[in-house]
Amino acid sequence: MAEVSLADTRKVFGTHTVIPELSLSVPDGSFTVLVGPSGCGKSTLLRMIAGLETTSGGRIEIGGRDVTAVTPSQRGIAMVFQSYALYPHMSVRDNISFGLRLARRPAAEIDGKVRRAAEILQLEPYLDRKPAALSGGQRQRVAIGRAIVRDPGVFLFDEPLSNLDAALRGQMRIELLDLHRRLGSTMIYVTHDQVEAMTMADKIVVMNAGRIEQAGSPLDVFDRPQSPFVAGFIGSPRINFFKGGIAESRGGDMVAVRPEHLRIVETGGRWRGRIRLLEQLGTDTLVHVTLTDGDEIVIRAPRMGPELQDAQVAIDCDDRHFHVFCDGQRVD
Amino acid sequence: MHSSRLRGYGLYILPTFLVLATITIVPLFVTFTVSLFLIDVTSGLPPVWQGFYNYVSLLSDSRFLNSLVVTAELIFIPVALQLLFGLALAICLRERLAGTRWMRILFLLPAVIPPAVSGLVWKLFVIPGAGGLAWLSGLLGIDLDIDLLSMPATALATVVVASTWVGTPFVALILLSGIETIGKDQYESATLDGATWWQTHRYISIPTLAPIIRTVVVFRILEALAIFPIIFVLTGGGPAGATEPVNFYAYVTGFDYLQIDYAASMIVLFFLAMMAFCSPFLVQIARSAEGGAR
Repeated sequence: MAEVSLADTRKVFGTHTVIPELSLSVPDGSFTVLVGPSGCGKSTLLRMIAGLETTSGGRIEIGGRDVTAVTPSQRGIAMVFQSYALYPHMSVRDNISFGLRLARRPAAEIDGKVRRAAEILQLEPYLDRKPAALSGGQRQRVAIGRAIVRDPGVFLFDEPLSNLDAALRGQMRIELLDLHRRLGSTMIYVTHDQVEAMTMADKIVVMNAGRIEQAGSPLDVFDRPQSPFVAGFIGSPRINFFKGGIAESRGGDMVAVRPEHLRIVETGGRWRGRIRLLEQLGTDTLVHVTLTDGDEIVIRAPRMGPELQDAQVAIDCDDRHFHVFCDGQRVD
Repeated sequence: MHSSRLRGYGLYILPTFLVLATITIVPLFVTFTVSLFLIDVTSGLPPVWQGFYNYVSLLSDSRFLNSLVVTAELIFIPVALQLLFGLALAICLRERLAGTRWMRILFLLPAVIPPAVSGLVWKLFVIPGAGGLAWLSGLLGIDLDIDLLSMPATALATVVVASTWVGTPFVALILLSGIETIGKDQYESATLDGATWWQTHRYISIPTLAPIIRTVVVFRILEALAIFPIIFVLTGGGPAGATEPVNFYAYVTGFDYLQIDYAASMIVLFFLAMMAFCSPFLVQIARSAEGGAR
């Protein structure tokens, strides 16, 4: 187990600055998720922690040790790649034990560690198979097994579930959380999927253009987004933004309301509009409304029938559900 | 259904089969037949049946036995060197070192030059006192005024070097295309596991390339048999048969000495030996190609 801390870390590719200057502390034993849109620098940051990318400035510490100039294999980390990065010509057993064999560990130790990892990941029946004979989920487990046998202080995951289908992704999410609970190691997980981030993280780090927009617990980030970017990125369906008088009256230049906090009312209401589209989710209905000023918003409402298509409706929301922003910052 | 499938075979496969049979199987059959007769092309007498007499004679022909040794040397040494240098070049090109983009084009050059021209280039290169080699050794302060092609060992070495020079680019490019299919993640994962540069290629690149290496080696061996033009231009099989492979000896016997039946028996024997050596590899390649197609 180990704490990871980055101080004023920078990454520049040629003339292009990917990470301007970033400081972050990942607590020991936490499951920290770096989340952000494609190209925001989250994978680069993870690769810098792993040592696969050099740093252009600043300091990286793992377990209190400065590892900025240390080779990847000496950093006490293990990484699981999106592509699994398995060696196709080696059996599952050889894939998992590759690092230990390179380090010339005793055969008994290698065997014990492989067996333990296989047991944790339920891979025992597949140890003598080649990766090509495994399903996507099993391959991902082998990749995790390869990380486990190294006994790392920190596990790094680079979008490990992106290649799996939706059902398997849900299952693997639970398995990874279970693994974190069993091993108690520090885990840093990169994803662009905010659902993965919300459901798995102890701590979410929302990144945008190489900067940390906000870091905190998932519910804190969801309930109190510090910028319009975070408000828009975390939460599905996307939060609704309003400008103009309603924002100015609250001391900001923009307000945001989550779809589940808007409700369709019979009388009164702050906004009026026409129902453009109804998306049935089973338990709820997503109601897409075109407001009289032309803005599009979405409301998560209890189940509604299709007869409401094109109906004129009034919409309201409690004052406490407004998130107010001024100059890109939250206003309380 | 059955008859239409048969018609399909007839229409599409038969012409190809007939062409291939005409240019490969028929000449083999004719060559084998010729080897069983005593044929004197200068006298105009009809061929006389002599059975396997030529084959028995070959076994005690020291020039033929020497040509077998030379053939083995000219196949296995250059192919081994081509593989070694080709693999090294492919790995260097994959590392994208400075200037390697242009090197890809340069490497293709020896592969597209006709072998006879390559032979001529090397002949000019090693001309004593005037060639490129003499000039290069002069730069290093060495007075290299010897005729490499006049001594058995150095003549063979020169042919080996020329053959390696011709074949290496092909091997390098095929292996490079194989290496480039290996994901960057695999190398990075190995780096995280503590693998050195050498271990990364020893345990990942080479095993992944093994099927390609096998195929390349078989094709290079088959190609090495056709070294004829380089020998013809560079050494003419000499000195004292030091660079004379079986096909060159057969050529000389057939077209210079006009003993075409004896030359034919050499070619048949050599064909059988090569088929025995290469068949297992060719079958394996065909099987893996079938597996890939499935």
